Amino acid sequence: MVLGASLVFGGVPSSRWLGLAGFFILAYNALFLWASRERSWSRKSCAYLQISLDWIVLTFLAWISDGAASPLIPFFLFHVIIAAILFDRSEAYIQTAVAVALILILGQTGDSSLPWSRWSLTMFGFSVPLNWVLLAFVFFTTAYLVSSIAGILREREKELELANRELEKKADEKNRFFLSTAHSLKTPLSSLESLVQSFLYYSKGQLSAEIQDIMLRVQLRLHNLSILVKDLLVLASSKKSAASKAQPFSLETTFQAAVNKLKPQIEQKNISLVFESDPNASGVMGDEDEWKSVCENIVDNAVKYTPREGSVTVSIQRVGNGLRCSVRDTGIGIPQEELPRVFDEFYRAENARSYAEEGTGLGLSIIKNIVEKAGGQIQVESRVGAGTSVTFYVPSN
Amino acid sequence: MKKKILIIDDDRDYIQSLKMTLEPAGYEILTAHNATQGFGEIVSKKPDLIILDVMMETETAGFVLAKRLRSAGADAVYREIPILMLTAVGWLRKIFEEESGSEVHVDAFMEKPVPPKELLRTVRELLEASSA
Repeated sequence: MVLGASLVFGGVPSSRWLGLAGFFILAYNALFLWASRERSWSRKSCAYLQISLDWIVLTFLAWISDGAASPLIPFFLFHVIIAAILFDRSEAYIQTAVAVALILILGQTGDSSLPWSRWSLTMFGFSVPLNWVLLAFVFFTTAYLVSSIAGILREREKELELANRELEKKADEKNRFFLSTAHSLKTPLSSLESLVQSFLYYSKGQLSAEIQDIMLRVQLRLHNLSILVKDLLVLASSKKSAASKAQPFSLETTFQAAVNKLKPQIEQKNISLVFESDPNASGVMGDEDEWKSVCENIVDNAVKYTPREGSVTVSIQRVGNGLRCSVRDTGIGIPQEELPRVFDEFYRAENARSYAEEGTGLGLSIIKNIVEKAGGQIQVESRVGAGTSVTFYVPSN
Repeated sequence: MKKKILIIDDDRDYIQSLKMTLEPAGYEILTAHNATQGFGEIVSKKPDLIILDVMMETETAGFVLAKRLRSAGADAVYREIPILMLTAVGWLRKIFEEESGSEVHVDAFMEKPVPPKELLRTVRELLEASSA
């Protein structure tokens, strides 16, 4: 041992050398950890490299410190445990065999051998030192126990994953049912709506005020119903787990179109509309139809809940790697205690229900689904009487 | 002479509602209730405009008919008739285009229900563009 140490260091290793070795171990372990997380190196091959390097360094350190009696020997067991957790059973046994062999070699080459070398067992005509048997027994039993526990845990994890997949499938089925129901509703509804529209158009000026009023009410009711069905359809298709087709498109154009669509209401209520758009607000990737309903829903809410002479501001800004869009209004606002629930399906705030009769309470949940599917975030800030601002961030390509 | 508009739609109520809007505006209305019958009407009556539904005997019958009328093999007479496509399920178009790998070439594509005024304006514009 002294010979080995003097070969390398020219004397007994100083604490400085040991510290350096410790630092080296920490450094490459950190490197592997980083590589397996950030560089998509396979976790398993990282663990292999890590443990193999550890074996070499540990053996070397034990060799220069005290051989088989080194205080570093427990670290061999530590690595056996890690190997048994990370690898399957046979690989864990191979690592255990390596550890036992290394310790035995250390015991043979160093000047201090394994403790308790006085006793030995005679097996198959060979005299085997008892400490060898004990060492192997402890190491292999540890490997066996740990890999059994890890195996059970892995099994459980697999079961959970299966159950999860099953649930996802069920949710998908439900969603498909939902979609086809909404469709079956939409076709006759659009016929009905069209009939009523045409009837009113056709009999312009020929109806008594009373009948005219009834028909207008029928028309309004039908219209609200078809908006509900349309919202349900968008909600169901935005929940589909299969990714919808993503194409580059401009959010600015989509917002502009949403604003144009609401021109009549905006002019009727004399709302001043401000449109601010960052010139470098590039396109984003997504399903344009889905984003159309995001923009329409946000702008529609802002216009609907803003009284006459109010203002609505749409702004699109480039922020880092994405776009931040916000729509601010000077509308009725949302009570503080109801804010956490605005993204719930079918939820409408108390004051919203009394302010505007129509509305499905689906708008914000649709928006949230679509924004989050695109990897974005959305938030709503509001003060009663002062207005509401809906802001979402979406990463651009 | 009155312009002839052929409405191909399996929903008789919807046809009725379109008729109520278009007839008083001075158009002659022809009807067909599926794509096959519609194609026959196109050949025999040569309408000035086709209003075409999508979901009829199959989910995409309207697209298939439109594709057939616009294909290179079709008679030039049919290729020049403007098509206004009306459907309650607009997003089917994207799926059809993806699956068939070809675009649907129609002159206007609108989602049902179309308000009467908008319908009349679109019809007028399409007819003007085709006779110009």
